Amino acid sequence: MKILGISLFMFILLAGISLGFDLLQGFNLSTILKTFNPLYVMELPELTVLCLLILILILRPVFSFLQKRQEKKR
Amino acid sequence: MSYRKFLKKMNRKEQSQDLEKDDPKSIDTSLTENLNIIKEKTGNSPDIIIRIISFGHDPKVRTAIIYADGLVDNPTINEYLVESMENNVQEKLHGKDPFTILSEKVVALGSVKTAKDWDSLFQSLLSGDTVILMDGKNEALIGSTKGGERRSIEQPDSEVSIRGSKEGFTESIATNISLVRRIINNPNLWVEPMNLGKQTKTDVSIMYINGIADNDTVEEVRHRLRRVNLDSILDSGYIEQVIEDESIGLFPTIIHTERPDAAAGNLLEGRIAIFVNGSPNALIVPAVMIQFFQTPEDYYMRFPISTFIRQLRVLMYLISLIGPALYVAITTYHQEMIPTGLLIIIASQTDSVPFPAIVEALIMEVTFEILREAGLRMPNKISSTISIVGALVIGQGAIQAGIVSPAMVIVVSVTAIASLATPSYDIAISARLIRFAFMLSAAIAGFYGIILGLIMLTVHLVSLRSFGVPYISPLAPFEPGNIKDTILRAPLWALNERPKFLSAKNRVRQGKNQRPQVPMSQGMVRADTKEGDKNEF
Amino acid sequence: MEKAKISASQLFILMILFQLSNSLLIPLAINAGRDSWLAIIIAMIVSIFLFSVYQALYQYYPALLPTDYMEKLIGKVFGRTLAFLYILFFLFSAARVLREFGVMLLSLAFPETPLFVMSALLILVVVYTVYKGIEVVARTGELLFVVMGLLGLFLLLLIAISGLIDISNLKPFLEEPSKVIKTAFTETLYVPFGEIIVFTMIFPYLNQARKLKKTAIFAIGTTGVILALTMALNISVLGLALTERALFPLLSTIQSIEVGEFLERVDVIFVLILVIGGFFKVSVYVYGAVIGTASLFNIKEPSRLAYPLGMVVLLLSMIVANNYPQHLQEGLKVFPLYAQLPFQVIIPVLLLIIAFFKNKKT
Repeated sequence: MKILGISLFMFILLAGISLGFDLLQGFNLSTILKTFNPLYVMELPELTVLCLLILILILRPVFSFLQKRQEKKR
Repeated sequence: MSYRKFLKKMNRKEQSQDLEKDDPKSIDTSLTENLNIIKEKTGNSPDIIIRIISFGHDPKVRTAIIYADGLVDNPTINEYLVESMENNVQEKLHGKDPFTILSEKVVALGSVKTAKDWDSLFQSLLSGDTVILMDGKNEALIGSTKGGERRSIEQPDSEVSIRGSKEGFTESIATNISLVRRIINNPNLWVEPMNLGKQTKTDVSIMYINGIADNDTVEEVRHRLRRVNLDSILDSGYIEQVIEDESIGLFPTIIHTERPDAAAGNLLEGRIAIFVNGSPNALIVPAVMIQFFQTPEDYYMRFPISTFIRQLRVLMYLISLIGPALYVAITTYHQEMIPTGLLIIIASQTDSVPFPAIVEALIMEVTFEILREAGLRMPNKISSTISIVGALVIGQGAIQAGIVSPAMVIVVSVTAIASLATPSYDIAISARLIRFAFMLSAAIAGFYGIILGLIMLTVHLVSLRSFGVPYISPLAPFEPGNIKDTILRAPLWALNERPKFLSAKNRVRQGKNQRPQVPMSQGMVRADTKEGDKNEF
Repeated sequence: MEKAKISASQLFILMILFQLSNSLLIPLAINAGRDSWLAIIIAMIVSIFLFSVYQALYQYYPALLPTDYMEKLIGKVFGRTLAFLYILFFLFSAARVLREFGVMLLSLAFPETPLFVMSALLILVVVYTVYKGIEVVARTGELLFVVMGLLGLFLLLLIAISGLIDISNLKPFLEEPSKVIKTAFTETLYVPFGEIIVFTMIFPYLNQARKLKKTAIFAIGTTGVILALTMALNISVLGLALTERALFPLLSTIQSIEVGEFLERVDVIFVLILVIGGFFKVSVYVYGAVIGTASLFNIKEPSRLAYPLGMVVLLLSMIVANNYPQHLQEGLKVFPLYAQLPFQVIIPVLLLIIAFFKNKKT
């Protein structure tokens, strides 16, 4: 969970930095927001891959969480 | 009663024995009592033979000879034990200990030892030794009489030799150890026996050359073997699977051989051999990947030829890994790579085929795997039928029916031959599975997929270790001194050092000037060369 | 820090592969015109001084990661913040490399496959490698280095026997010296040479600390020479105009190879170099980020960070720029000035000054 939190935090910061760079390059805000397009305009194969990757990402924490709960029950 | 049945029965009896609580630990003084215990413990099995003889003279002592029928060498018992005991009946025993006389003067066997507890008594009895019990004595005399029917030494099937020794290991551990000892006549060749398997109590031995093998590695092997707590050990494969570093992956991290000369060569490089009774394969650790592409023959042949053959084998392995994948990638994504003439031929063939290349490849590969497995398990007479069916019906039929293209059949058969040409079955079999992964990645992303797959494979291989030795040594981590004996094979006189990754100390293998000193130079020789000069004829 | 050691030769190979990777493919220092090779050499010489700064810092704390000694040098709050910024810098650089790599691949061979899938496949291999640790990265490097070397020699041989090289394309020599100096200091110094800042995360794993200086300088020198030769080769084969316009000059060079009837399309070699290089650069960056994060946030199993951080890099590579020209523009104008200059030059120099005075006192 901690690891996921750190990664998410980093991603948000980095996305912000990326926007900052775009601003420094002299683009206006609406153009910049288009950089997020690739994330929500995805075709089926891309979506499948993305879902799979995210599934793997959360699999480990969920698994260890369940394991801990089982141990607690005992 | 067959041996296996006997074992089964033994197991059953022992299980019931486990339930009893007050198990007598040490041998009683009364012979009758002792014999009863033996009979009870073995469940009166008829193959445990008990002969009672009166030994000595004035007073006579009742003595029992106990052995397991079929496990002992019958002539030995008759000639050296029973007869000599009966001949010596005249010996007077006044005041002397009959037991000492028996062990010192009478029993003319190779090795004699004593036992006081039942565990070691049964262990010896059931491994083929003869037990002698004497009335009034709480000790047993154990004479080595191992023998019985075993397979004789034959040429190994799995590792055929052209030039080298034709001997192969057998199922008997004693024979196997002696085969290696015959090659290395050196007191530093040490053997450490062990007994593993809760039920089978199988003999296992570690063999290494003291002073060459790395002590830490030997200790590691001992440690790993000691923690083996299996129910049974029927083959060296059992041991292999519980002591290897990577038991989930596809690549073998322990090499096994049926040839004594191969085992001896590995021992001399500083490796450690593990023999398991009942298995004609000696396990050799630590193994590095390049070994699976080498045979003992490489060292017997001329070095340029062996170098060429070794590189050929690695190439074969690569073909058997990515052959079909390359075909799929080229025909699906990279047609421009094929010369135009060839492209037209392939295109005209695949035109009538209803499937994409990947499906074609999968069909053919799976068919081939089925054929191979069928051919392997069938008796010889039937397997010829299978090859006919495979060649004619599937090969030609599939092409004529237009299900697969002829080019694909060629690719699959080249791959098949390549995978059969890899000398080690263990490593060839890994390629069989990985090939499918490569085919799929080629279908998804063409060359890019294959390259990524190869990188992934490299990463996996370099992350493997065998008993602490990196699997791809000496290539990665790179050892410049040991590169001479990898996919290259330098001349024998240049292989001066043992592999550094196996033993850090005692690395000098041979004298420095082993290159033949020919009397006559092959170049020009000056006319004024004096007598006694090296170049003089 | 993980418990691992790498040898000097492994570090040498890693540094070379890391710096060569995508710099081999792009028109490096092309703003210097015909003398781009000279700009590369100058940048290389300057970067050796830059490296001495990193090395001096390493000498003060040979067993510590930069993320650890920053805390010692400038206090807990500032040190940790700075370390965190460095990790972000590594991730951002990794994402940029990944984007570049994906675009190259698409424009080369797979116009129909989505960029995201291509990048995802590469990042999965990277994650697996980083997961296994630095020793595995180093050993993989050793094997792939041989492959790269053989391919390079093969290519050189093919180009030579095709008779494509025209030295006169490189003349006149030194038309505009000011341009050469400017390019060297504003572009080439940061990419690829300044990028070795990420190796400060790897230096502590070296098993013979005293060999560091020699090894690294040798690696930087070799890289510089190879890159300069490559650019000179490109210009001499293609001519200046074509090289300036080409997205990937090396590809154009390779495509002009024609030996006999059959050795015409050797593009696949280019794909091979591209994938191996991209793989290494992203791996080393992600490794630096992973090991830094692990020490900063005190995570017991650094391996577990590999996958999440890999995903961060993957997603970031998708949103890092609108399109490829914008991405390139950013890489030439904004990124060097606002990220690479401070992180690669200014901060290390400041840290070195602080370290000097701190260690003098005691």
